[in-house]
Amino acid sequence: MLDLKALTQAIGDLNEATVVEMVNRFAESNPSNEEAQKVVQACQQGMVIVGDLFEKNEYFVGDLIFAGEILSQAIDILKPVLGGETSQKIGTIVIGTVEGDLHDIGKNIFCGMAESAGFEVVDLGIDVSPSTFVEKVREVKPQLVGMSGVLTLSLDSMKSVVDELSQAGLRGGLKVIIGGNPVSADACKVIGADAYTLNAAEGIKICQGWVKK
Amino acid sequence: MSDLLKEKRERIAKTIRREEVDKPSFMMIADDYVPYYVGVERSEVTSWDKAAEVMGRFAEDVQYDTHAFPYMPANLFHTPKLEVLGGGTFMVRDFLKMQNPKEVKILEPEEYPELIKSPAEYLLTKVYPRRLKLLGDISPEEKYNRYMRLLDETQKFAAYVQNCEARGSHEIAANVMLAPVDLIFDNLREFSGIISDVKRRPELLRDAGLAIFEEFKALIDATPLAEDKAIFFPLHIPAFLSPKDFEKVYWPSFKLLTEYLVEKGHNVLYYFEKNYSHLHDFLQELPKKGIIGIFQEDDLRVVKKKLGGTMAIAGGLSTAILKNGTKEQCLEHVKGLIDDLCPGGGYFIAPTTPMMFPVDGRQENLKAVADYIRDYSL
Repeated sequence: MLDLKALTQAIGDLNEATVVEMVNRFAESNPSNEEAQKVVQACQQGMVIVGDLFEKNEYFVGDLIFAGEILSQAIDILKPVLGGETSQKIGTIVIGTVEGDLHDIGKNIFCGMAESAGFEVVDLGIDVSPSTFVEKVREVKPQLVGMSGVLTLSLDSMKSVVDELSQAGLRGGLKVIIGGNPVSADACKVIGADAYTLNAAEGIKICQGWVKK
Repeated sequence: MSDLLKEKRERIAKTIRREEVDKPSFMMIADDYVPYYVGVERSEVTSWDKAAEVMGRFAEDVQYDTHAFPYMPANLFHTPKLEVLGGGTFMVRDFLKMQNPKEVKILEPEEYPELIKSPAEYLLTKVYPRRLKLLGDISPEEKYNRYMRLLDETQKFAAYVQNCEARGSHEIAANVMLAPVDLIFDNLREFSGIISDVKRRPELLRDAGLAIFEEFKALIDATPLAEDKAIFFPLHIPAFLSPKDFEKVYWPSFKLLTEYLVEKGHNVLYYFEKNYSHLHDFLQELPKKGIIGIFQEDDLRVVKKKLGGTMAIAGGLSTAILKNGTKEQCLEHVKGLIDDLCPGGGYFIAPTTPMMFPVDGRQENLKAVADYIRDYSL
């Protein structure tokens, strides 16, 4: 069996070559599904290290993106071993960059980290209209909605989404988090979101706190 | 030239040289906010003359010393260029420009060696034709016509900038360029691509930056010198890189670029987008003259302390306070900036974020702040 601690550390160190080599070697050893799940968990623990280092300003956005790529590679290698079975999800989040904004970097980082933290992520993409948010929330009944934006204009779009969710009777019991350059405590209050963040790692912790309650 | 414009030019030049001035220097950074401020719909701005008139009204009311870049109506600036070039990384919707990340990635990592060998030639003959119809396989007549239209659009814009200045809006940018590695990021590789390069092939990315810098020299040499103007560089990727990665891939061409610009007598206006506090130690090594740094998220008081001996600094005027604060809170905020940052010279009061939308500030707050700065004596 693979040295799971070493794998976790290799992800935390952004050591792509070591991660790929270890996971490949593991996949070739004809492991059980249960063993593969443990390897996935070890990778997820590595992402926690990455998130912590990001919060301490030792890692930067570029490092988060690269960590996400390393994780994706590892999961791709493990897919044949995992088969159709996936680990149990801790919650569902519908996320998108709001209407009028095409920036997707922050959203993509958040999506990657949310998936590795065990969330089912429904990514609506960029320039997402309020009605698309409402339809998707009605369809998948998530616990959380995440809205991202870089332009200050996106604050108006975020407010429209919250307003339309309320009008559709879908706001009750739903937690809403907003993220991106222009968000602030004031903006959060005006928009009617439950939380805001400028930092993907912090955002994940907020979401985890909500689903654990 | 009016006495007021002459006075502004002197104040700008002195502030760039980090000398003390008679009153706080004020640099406006506003794009689509300009028509909103003067009460004109974006859709009404259908000619460059109208745009200049709008800029003139804005300048007259806000009375800033200089403007980082003029208001560029997307339907006048981007739409014709997109048509003539036959593609681009921007799109225009509802009279607003939007960057389209899907259009950016047109260079593959294995092409770096060719790019390094001869950047301009490789980009113009191999890479940009993938995006731009103008450089693709079209008839000579069509190509000629498109180039003529492009020249026409460029001349119209240059005349517009002059028109803005004639109406009292001093425009500090003599030219707009991208730092070499940002050119690769913004135009060729997009975010995931450039991060992959930073981590997997840093030497190639560094060398591509150095090769592009060499070819920038002619462009820099062709830009006229003026003590109240600067070549404007919005800086994009460094904020996302660790100091270690920055030093490896970005710094070599960036340092040479800055040294070359200053050596040739240019002023440089760097827009440090997002936060650069992790890179201040590098910035301290830049030449000690000719640089203005606009800082978006850094604590300006820390920046002044650490970089005030290297460059003039700009920023600090919170658009969040302009939007959400009372008039009194706005004035208290700007007084704090003046008290803390003006002594010793080398500071432009400037918005923390380019003002684009109504959410970037209430008109009455901006007006109150502008009047306060205008009437303030140092």
